Amino acid sequence: MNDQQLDEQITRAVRALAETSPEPLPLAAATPQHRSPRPILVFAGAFAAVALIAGLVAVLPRIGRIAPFGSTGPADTAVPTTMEEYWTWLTDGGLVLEDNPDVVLVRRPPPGTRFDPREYGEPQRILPVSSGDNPLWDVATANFPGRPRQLTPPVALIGTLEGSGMQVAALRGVDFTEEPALCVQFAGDELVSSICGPLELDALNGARLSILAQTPGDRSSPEASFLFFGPLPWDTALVVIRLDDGRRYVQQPRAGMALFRIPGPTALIGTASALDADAGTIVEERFNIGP
Amino acid sequence: MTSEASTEPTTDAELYAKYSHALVAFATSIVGPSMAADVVHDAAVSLVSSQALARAHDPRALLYKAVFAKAKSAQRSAFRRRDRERRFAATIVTHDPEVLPEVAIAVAKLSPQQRACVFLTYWEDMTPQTVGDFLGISDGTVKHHLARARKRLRETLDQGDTA
Repeated sequence: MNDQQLDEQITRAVRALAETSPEPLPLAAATPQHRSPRPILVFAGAFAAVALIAGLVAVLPRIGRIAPFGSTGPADTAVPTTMEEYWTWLTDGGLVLEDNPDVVLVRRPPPGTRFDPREYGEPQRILPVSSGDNPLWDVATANFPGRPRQLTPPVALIGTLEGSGMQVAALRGVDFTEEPALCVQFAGDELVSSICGPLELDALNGARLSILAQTPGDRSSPEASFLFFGPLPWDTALVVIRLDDGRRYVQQPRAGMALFRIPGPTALIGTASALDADAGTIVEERFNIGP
Repeated sequence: MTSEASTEPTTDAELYAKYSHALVAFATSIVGPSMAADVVHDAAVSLVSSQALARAHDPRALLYKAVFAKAKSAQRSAFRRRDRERRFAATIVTHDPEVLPEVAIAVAKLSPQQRACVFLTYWEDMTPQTVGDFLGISDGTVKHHLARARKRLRETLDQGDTA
């Protein structure tokens, strides 16, 4: 099929769609509009989720709430429905290191917003990886709790949380039931936190938020907590954390993931929201993670 | 296709009256006919309520942006995507029997961004620059979406040829 035939078919398809469009509704009298977030999932739901993956909790002490990660972005493609689609999206345009082909540097920029993110809180950034970066660990020695039966290089190195030295990376493999599995890890010199599991389509589709937490109660993070979000809903442009003590943090996710450093030894109680590029709330959840 | 009236509308109601049909067609390309009118209406009411429409430098572009945002939200249903794609494709096929079913299915599977770019380009005859202005993205991103959409459609059709 040549270009002209392709254009003709596309034009026909678009025309067919346009001709099915219904009549517009009469414009109702304008009334004040407020964004209504989706129903907030209460603590009980969060802890029920923890209970369901109690096996993982056992090997990840002090983890408040866990979910396998994934990714999202400025949805330039359809939401992936398989691990293969997801991985292709994640590593598309990535840079494979010449001296270490087991590492691919993810090159996806954060999604843009049509509003000023600083209106929502103090920005934190995941800096892009450069060709001089290497993961703090490699495939052979990666010790993922809940590690799949088989891990498949390359490691997708996504970025470093500014000012913390914490890296975010992902790896895929096959679990013990031969199903595709995805592992994510955020790691610093001493602190390592990770999780593996199937690609969670309901998270990618915006039905909920997945949160992985590392709190000061862990010896390796005495002065701060870390909150990791993923898989974020596919069109997430900004993650907003509102703690009940008044602190607010925001981040534009990189490759559909967000990692926050929350100073202090206090418990983390608050609300996390994923916003789209127009500041519309995609999903919002409460969290309560003890020190 | 759209055409510009000689007199520009000045009130919200006039703006809505002028552009609502085109906006519903645009929304239909993203969410299908069953939700399109509601999406456009909700977007317009939001803009009127916030008085954003009255302040807008380019109210038509703002209306498209708002409808696009609403349509994406409406598309977000987590568990009905595949069913929606099937119904979406069936709509295209049944309305024009000369549209290849493979094309209808492939169009239905495009992302909302890709469909929006395809619609505004092929139906509204907009340039990438204008599409970008209307969707709030760069013209480079528009070209990227169009290229990916065309590549996907071509692959689908080529597979059909060899099947």
